[in-house]
Amino acid sequence: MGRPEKPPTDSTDNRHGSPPSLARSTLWRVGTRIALVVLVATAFSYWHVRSGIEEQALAGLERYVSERRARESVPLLDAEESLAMLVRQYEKALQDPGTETSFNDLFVEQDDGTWRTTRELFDRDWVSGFVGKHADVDAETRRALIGAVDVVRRFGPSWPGRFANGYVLTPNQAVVMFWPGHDWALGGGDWEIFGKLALMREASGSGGVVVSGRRDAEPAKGTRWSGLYYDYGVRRWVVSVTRPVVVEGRHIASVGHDLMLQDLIERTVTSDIEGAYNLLFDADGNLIAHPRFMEAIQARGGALPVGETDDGHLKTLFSIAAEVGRPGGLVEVPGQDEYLAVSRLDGPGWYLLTVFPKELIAFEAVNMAYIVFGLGFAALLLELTILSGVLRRQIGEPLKALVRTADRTRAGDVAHEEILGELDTGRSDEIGTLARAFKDMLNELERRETALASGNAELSRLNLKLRHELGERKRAESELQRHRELNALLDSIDYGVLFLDADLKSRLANDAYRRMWQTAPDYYDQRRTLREDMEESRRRGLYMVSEADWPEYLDERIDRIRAGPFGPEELQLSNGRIMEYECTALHDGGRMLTYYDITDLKRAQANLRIHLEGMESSMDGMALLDHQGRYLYVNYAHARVYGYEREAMIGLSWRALYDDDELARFDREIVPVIHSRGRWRGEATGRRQGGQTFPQDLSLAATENGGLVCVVRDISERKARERALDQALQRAEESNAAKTRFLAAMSHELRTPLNAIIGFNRIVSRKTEGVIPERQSDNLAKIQTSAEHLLKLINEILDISKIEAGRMDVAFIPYAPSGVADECLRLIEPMVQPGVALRCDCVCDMPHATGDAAKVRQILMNLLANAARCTLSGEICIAVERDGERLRFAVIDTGIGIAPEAQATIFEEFARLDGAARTGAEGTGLGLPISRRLARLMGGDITVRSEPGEGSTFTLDLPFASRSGSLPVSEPAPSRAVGT
Amino acid sequence: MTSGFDVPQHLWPDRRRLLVGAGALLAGAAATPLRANEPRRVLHVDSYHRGNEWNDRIAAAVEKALTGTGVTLRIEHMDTKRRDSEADKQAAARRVVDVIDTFKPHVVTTSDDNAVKYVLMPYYRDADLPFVFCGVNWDASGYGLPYANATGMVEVSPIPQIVEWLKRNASGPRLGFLAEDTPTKHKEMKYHERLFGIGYDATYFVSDFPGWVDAFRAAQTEVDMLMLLGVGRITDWNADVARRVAEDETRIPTGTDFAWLMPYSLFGIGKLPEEQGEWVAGAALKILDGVSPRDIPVTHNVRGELLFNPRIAATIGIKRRPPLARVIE
Repeated sequence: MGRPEKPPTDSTDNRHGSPPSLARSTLWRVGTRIALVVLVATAFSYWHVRSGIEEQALAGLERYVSERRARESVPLLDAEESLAMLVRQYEKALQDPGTETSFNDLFVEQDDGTWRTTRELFDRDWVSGFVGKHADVDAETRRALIGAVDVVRRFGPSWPGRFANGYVLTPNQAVVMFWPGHDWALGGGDWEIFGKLALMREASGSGGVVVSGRRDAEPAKGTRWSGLYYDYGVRRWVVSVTRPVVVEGRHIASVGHDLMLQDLIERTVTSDIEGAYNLLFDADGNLIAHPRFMEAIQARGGALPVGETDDGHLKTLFSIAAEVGRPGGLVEVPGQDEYLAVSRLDGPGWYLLTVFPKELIAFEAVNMAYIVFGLGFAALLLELTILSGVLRRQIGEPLKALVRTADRTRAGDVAHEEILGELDTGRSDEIGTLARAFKDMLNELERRETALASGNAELSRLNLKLRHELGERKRAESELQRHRELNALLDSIDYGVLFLDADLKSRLANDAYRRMWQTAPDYYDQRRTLREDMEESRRRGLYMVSEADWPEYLDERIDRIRAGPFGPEELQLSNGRIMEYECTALHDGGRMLTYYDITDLKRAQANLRIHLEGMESSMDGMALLDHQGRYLYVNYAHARVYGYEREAMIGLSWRALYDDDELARFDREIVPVIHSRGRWRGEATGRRQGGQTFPQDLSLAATENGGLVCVVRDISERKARERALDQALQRAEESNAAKTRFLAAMSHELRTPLNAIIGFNRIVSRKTEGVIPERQSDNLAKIQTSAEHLLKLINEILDISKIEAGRMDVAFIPYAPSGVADECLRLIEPMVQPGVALRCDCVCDMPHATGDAAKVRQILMNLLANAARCTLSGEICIAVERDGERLRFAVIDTGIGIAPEAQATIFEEFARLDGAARTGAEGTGLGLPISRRLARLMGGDITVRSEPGEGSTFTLDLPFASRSGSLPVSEPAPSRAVGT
Repeated sequence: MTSGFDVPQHLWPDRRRLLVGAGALLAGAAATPLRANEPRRVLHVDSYHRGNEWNDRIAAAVEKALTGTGVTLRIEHMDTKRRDSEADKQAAARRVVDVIDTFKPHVVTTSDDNAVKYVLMPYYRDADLPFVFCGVNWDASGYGLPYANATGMVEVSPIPQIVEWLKRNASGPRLGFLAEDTPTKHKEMKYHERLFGIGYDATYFVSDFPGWVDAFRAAQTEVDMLMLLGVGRITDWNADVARRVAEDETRIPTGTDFAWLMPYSLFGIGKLPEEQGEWVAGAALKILDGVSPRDIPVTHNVRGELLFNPRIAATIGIKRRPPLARVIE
């Protein structure tokens, strides 16, 4: 056995990354030291160069300023010299008697009061002249102007290219101008000409009022320079220079030139020195040119007072320039990292400043330092390159060969002799000694490795075998685990599953399958053929196949399963269960049979069909709606109620079936109830497809899925009937009320005269008793009886009227029931037939009842009077008893009795008994109705039991403590006749 | 400041001689020779009302310049901008004449056209009472100025400087002119052309605010730069809408010489009323010192200030603000 082989690695890529290279480290050390030397040299060069550059720059700047001043002053000095010459020539012209040109040949008075030269003069000589309308055009003025025309005409041709123009101004607002191409004094308005004259005369920047000089006034001496101003004639920025002409102490005129300083300004704002900039001040501190402020300067009229810029730096520059004065100099600006070169221009005395930032010098020095540094760095790279070549050839390459040899020896990929061939063992230095020692070591290593290799080979073979066995075992365990998990999964589902192999032998049956087919738990421990399995099920009587059909059925089924996948199909077993089964082909030729018990599902479907048929046959509209309120199902009645085709309602929103007011009511009242209670019932107003509305009974119930069950019934006919009934009832109540009012009124009106009749009849009877014949006395008695009957009738009608009108009051005071009964018996005693006994059957210690004793007495008297009229023999008894909270009075007689058919009507108004008529005891027909109404008014009732020929019992049932009538008195309940 | 040169027609020619004669008579009566040690009096006649910013600044400059000089200054407002009927203007002029009679100034200074047109020209032309005017636009010769007794400062605008700036920031050479449709603005445009050689490629004279908005929008595509001039006579002017239109829809550089048009303009060079007030006061002092008005030439203003609207600049992508420009939004 040998050691396991380790893959060879390159020694140059060892575990610590790149190995430290002797050549590289040597190069690094050498390079670093040389670089330090270069840096020091660069720094030294920088300081040395900077000081030199600074001196050169300042010297150059001084030279530049001096040259610039000289250059910019040339046209200015030229102008001053020209004016000096012009003054001399003009003075000569004024004194020259040879001047004979007539003033009127040159000037013409204009309509506006001014004098202007002729157009011909301008066209010929480019000379124009102007005299203000209020100027005195005296002889001296005329001479001055004639002389002016003469002198500018003569010298003008030498001015173009040097000056814009040349002119002569008199103190009294007259001017003669030589200006090629500009008829300035001919076409300009007063203000244009005077405005320019003012600007010509104005000292730079004063902005004050100019007064035309008088000839005798003391003129300003020497040359005067105006400020920079915009000339509307040439449409340029110009400056004017003038010089007075004084003759014998009198200021005769001034001569002048305009200089267009556009070039000067442009040279000022565009510096010749990169990084530096120029600016121009006048002597009053007005900024005339500045590279940044030109727009503001020109907006300000050509002179921007430095004080208006709020720029402290500018103020400092101007103050320094004013201190330096003429001719100028170079100074360092205090507090600023810059130099200021000042030069004062001849002529106007403007300050031309050049600002030179010190950083420009530093920039030059830095550039030089960069060059030194670059050269030093290049030299460094060259030296390092040479050194690198030598080191690589003399040390690096032999060492690398040694390393490669070691690597290849370790890898063992080539022959020993070939490996050693790369080493230079012939060198006599340290490298040669190292190569020879290495060669000896390799020979010894080769010998040891040969012995080790044979042992390692056997060890590797055994190791591979062991690894293979371990892998197989892991795979088997994994398969077993998966099988268990699959079985657990199969046992947990409701589907019955039977796996068959290609020979249709069982491989696996899950729990559900065994339950469905009622097999023993261990039945499938042995592998069963499908045929055996089916036979077993048949033995258990699960198949609904006859004995004769079984063989054919069995073969056909097995053939189908063997033929391939099919299903799903239904199979009903003899135990009533219904299975849905399916055959699935497996990839190995086997089959998977799945069974699912759909018995409950079938039953539910049947029930659902029944319910659906019920809904279809319902007279009421029924519907199902989804959670959005759209119809899922409607029966025919529902569609009919709303006037739709049934199919048209599917998908329709219920909101389309109600108008806006009803929908608002739904949203406001009904929908919240459905949300809170789950259902709502009530009436609503639906809208048919044609737009017609109709009343409906509506029942809504929420379903679990957010939908609705709706039952609706058209109640249009019922509503119509109810309305008709209400109207009839209202009419009846109105008629009844009218009748009641009529009766009350009539009774009252009748009773008054009737009382008078009875009273007077009673007086007549008493007064005539024994005086008039008996027959007349009988007539009086009949009158009395009839009148009293009529009065009684009227009183009773009045009582009924009161009751029906609701004006009958009921007292609520204690009374003794037995005492009332005794009192009534005594009162009725005169009315009973001779031989008829009266009896009171009362409990002596009965406590007082509470109620209206007068009405109780009226009822009992009425009942006793009836009994007295109808009882010819026997007895009349009144019984009183308390039954809990009830009090009962019973009037019992042994009279003629009441026929059963009459018992139903005796409590109706004006109903009379046939028997009573026969006894001659006819009443008013109102006693019993009034008695019952009074009884009901007091919370009780009157019932009767009677047998014709055997007598009658009337029972008054009252609350022991009554308050008021609780039963309706206007509609007496049907009397309840109880047979005796 | 923006009035035309038209003389009140009903005064000419029927009453001309009568009124001029009366004016001269009045002037003669009003002109008060200055005696030694007598307090010096100057009347400043403002054509408009107190509260009109431009004229108030002129009056303030006059007052400041005369402070400490021993001059008694009185300021009289004619109020002819708010009361601009012909009758009101003449009544205001008569009121000024009455003031001159009672105050007896040694010099009268005026600002804007109406004081010249309704007071100086009809009542004091070539009279003894010295007048110094300012605020008359472009050309005073329309009123026959200068008179023997009057001098002044004509008001001009730094149009060349504005156009020069616009050219530097425009993408093309076409220049437009947008202003109210009044004779004054037509005349002003002619001055631009005559004095400065400026040729307008498109002109927009409008009478109402919707017209101004339409013209402003049209100019954005029809020209490459636009001069915005006075709109004081547009009675339905809507400053908020104009500002919004200018800030949202400006596509070309726009310039003006009115500071109060700066909310609608990118760039401007505004005239300084103080320059005119100082000059008027200076001329008045010269006259009080014995200088004749005829020896003081009519001049014109030269000073202005840079104005800049950064909101509009942002709209058209101009990032550089001219140094020392006053920002107006």
